[in-house]
Amino acid sequence: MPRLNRERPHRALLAGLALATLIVGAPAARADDVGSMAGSPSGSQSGRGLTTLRQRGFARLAMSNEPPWAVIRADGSIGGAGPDLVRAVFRRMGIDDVRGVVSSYGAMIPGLMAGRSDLIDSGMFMTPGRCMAVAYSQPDLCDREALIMQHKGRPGPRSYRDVAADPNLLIGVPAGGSEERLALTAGVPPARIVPVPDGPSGMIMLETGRIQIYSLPAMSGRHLLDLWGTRRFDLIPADGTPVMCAGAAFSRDATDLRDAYDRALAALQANGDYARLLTRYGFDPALSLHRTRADLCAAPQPTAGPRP
Amino acid sequence: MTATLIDLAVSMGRGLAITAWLTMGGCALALACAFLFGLGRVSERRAVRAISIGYIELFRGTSVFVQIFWLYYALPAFGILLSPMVSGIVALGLNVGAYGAEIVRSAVGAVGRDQAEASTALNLTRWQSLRYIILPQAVPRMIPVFGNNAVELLKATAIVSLISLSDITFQAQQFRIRTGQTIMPFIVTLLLYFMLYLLILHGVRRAERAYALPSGNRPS
Amino acid sequence: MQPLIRIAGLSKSYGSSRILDNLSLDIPAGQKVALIGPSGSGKTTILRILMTLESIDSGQVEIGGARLFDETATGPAYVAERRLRPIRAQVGMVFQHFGLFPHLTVERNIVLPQILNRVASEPEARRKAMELLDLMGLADKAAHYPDRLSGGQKQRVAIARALALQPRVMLFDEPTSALDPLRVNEVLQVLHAVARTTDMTMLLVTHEMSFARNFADRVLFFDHGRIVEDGPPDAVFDTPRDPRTQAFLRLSSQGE
Repeated sequence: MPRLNRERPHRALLAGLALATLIVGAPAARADDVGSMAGSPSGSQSGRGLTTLRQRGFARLAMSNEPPWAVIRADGSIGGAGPDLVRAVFRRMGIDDVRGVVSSYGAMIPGLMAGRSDLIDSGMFMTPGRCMAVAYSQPDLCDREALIMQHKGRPGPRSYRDVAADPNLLIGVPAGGSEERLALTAGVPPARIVPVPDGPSGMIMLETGRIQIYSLPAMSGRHLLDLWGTRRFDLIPADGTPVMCAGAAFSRDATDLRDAYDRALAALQANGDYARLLTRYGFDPALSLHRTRADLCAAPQPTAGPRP
Repeated sequence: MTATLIDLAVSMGRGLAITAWLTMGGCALALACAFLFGLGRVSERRAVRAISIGYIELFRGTSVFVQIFWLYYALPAFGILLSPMVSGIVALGLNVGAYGAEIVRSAVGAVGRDQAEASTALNLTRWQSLRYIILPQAVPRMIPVFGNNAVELLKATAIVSLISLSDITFQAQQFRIRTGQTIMPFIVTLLLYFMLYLLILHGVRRAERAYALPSGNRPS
Repeated sequence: MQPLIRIAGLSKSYGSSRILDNLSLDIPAGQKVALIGPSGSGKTTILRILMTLESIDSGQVEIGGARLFDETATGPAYVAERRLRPIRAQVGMVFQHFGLFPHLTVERNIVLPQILNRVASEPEARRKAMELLDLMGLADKAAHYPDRLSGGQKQRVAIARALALQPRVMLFDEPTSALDPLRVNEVLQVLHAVARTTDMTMLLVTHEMSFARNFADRVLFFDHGRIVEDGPPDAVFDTPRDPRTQAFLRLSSQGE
């Protein structure tokens, strides 16, 4: 599921290496600006402008398996709200084919920087920190935080603050993600916060009593309940949490492509295709209406800013 | 249920092919590097020794995680764009090859000095001595340890999900996320790795027999 | 006549102990020389230098007129490998611990060096090997691997292997000292036969005094890296001049 700032040890390492890549990558990017590199390895991998993509005929979309945001099927084909939306936007831009580059979550930004993909759309929430590393489109998929717990037939906690108040509750959070910060801010002591590697693991931890509450974005929670059955579990919105938005992320040297994407996205929002597509996956198209990249990238969010 | 089983079979089959290719390619490269740099390590030329030591220490001293990352994500900045499979094979091969080089060095060192001196006394060149006298005695010592390294390489292949290769482990993880089922993909994963392990073991046994040192007399 | 082997001003130390001390020695072609003396007196080191197995601190060695060492900034160093190989081709060596190749049969031990040195074709090399094994009384062991042979048999194979390359100089480094005393004679007999039937130049380091006397035309007594006695066997053994030689021979005869 989408996370803000995952910082498991190897992810921190990835971030460091990504930075190194960015630095050593700078000369190659400049060379590409000269425009004389077509055909050379450096030219072909750095050339990610709109013209290059039109000539090539397809875009390479980096994504990890985060249903329903992004889905990788058994045969390797891709789907989910993010990739389907990307496909629709690119079709409008005159690029008919979008090919998936299946990555682990932590490898998507390094891959984008190294020219292994043209964009990321995998429910990766916008944060000021990420906005500095990549060029985001306008927000496309937004969601609220939610809590899952076993169905007990009596009222349980409704917010992170409620979890903090009950010393018997252990809360699972996507490892190092925004939920951890939300829980800490609400006063849950670190000893009662348990990192969860992935959705199915979180559900098993709930079933076996390793945790009592599992917090995650509502859409990810709904997908898990579809698999596990809604009778045994409750999914409730977490009170007092902000709306998070993901967007398509481009390389910072491909802002022309990003801008073209924004224009096409706006057109889809205007003609209603956007709403139809999101509704099909259960997303609320209204959530993104009054939110902009400028707001989401500008200031550190009160609950989940970049870490030092 | 049937659909789920088909999903499992298809995805794990695809993962198995990736893991098997990585293991075979990685082992082949590791073997070549092991001999090249293991013998370079004991070369009479200073420069060759220095290069070999540099290679061995660089790749033993940094994790395969960092190496695969550099090959796949950082090299493109220098104009070298390797495919995911080639990146995976090169990273695993170079990493395990560094350990293999030390095995070659120590196995060659374990052959008595008297063998090299007898070779000199019989006026063999250094290459002839290596090829006909030293290596035939050193290789049987290397094979079991090479076998361990091959198994380590097999297990290290799980790292390639980092570079968009969907190996066995990655496919099992994707299957879990798609279906919510945990036990079944983990059983299949376990069996597949163990099967590959047995294949390596079998290969090592055969190689051990093929290169065994003679003992006792043989009919002429 | 030019001596076949010329050793001039040879010195070598291991740390603070001096193994060879400014040693000079000429050996004419065809001479059978026995090198005797206490352990650590430098006898074996001389053989190993002639076989190009040992570095030196100063001095020069010539075999058949060709120099083994170049003078460099850091002292004498062996000449380049490509110049060394023709010199080595004239020298053969038999070691105390045999140095047989355990992964090759007895026959192959003798055949392979001939082929690699291009001195014989495969069939010629095999014929030669069988001839020599016959001479050594080991024809029935041709297909055996060395680990099935006794020490005496191994040493005879080693001698056959060295002889197969037909060197001008043969070096024997204590060829019987690693053997079961019961097996010493079979090797000595072979050595004696070879010495009598060829005009090869031979250097033998040994502690077998009576054999040294029978085998050699010339006996050198070493002590502390120097030659302190040099003469025909009768003179050295019967009327040694140096007190160190006298003391050593007295002790050796007690041991026998």
